[in-house]
Amino acid sequence: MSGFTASNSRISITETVGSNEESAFDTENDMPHIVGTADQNFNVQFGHFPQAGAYWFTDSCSYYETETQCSWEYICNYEYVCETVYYYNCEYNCSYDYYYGDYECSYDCTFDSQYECSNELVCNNEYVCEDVEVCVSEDFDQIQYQSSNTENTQNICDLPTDEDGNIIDIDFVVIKATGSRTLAGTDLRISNNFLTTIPSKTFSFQGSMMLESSLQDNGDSWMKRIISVVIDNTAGKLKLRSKQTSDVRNTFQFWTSTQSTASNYSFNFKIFFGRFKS
Amino acid sequence: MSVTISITPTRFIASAGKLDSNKRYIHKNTNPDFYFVIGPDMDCNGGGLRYVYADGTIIEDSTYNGTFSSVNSVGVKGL
Repeated sequence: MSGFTASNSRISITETVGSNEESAFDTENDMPHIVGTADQNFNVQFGHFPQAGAYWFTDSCSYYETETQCSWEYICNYEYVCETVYYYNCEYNCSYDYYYGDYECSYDCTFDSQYECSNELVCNNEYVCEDVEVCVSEDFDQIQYQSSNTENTQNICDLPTDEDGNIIDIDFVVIKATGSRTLAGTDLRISNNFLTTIPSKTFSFQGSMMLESSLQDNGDSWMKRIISVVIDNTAGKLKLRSKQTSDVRNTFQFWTSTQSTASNYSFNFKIFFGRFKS
Repeated sequence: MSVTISITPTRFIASAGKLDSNKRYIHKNTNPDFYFVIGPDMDCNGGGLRYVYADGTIIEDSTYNGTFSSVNSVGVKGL
């Protein structure tokens, strides 16, 4: 069930949703509409972070590696050795021969064996290998960024005006955008470019948008770069405020002075200026 | 053929469907479903970021040390 009311300067349409009569359209409500658009190309620059210090050092045991080491070694061990021992047991026996009146002597030998065991020290030259943890030395450059918060504001377009040339008050701004990073700053902690969040396709946003970030080793944020759209009704401008912030932090990476933390972006903004009352 | 205006017991249509009671036209409301934002809704300071939602909800990095706390916005309802 729907309802339609036209009374004086008000038009109202309602629609039954479940058991409720909901407003579908009502001229008494502040209805959103677009009062103007602008299409603008511009660039955004984020500068190199100030550097507080830098020095070089060698860590003689930066990390461990497993290494197989082999050598000839003279190794002695006690071994329990058993063997059969053979032996002769000879006795020299003499007896008196009364017939000849003399002694008659001879050797009586018996052959015998015995199983004998004992601990014996056995030594050999052996080629012995073992895995050992060894220190690996590394050269490092340490740089320390200086804490900084910088902000730059640029006008990107004028606000829409009415037929008399007066600036129309704006209630909201929606931006449809494309953009790309034209210069990528180096995040020395990961020896690579700063991570960027800018989409590769058309996107839209209101308010602010984060472009880059970087984390410390413990996961805490130490750097952010954002842009925000700002309405300045007094000057009739849509401003773009770009802000970068960093905190004092150390980074341990191979570093050369040619590596920069500066980043640049190029954008196209299709800007929709919105209002709730005509 | 386009209809200039059509009124039935269950539906109202005008301007060839540009105004239609079956649609839910968003409008400004103090109990909004969502918001239109004007101006910044993020700030960064001390190496961290703070995001302030239009209803005042704050999401921030632990390292943020600024004071940004409010967003200009208009609440909108679609039903």
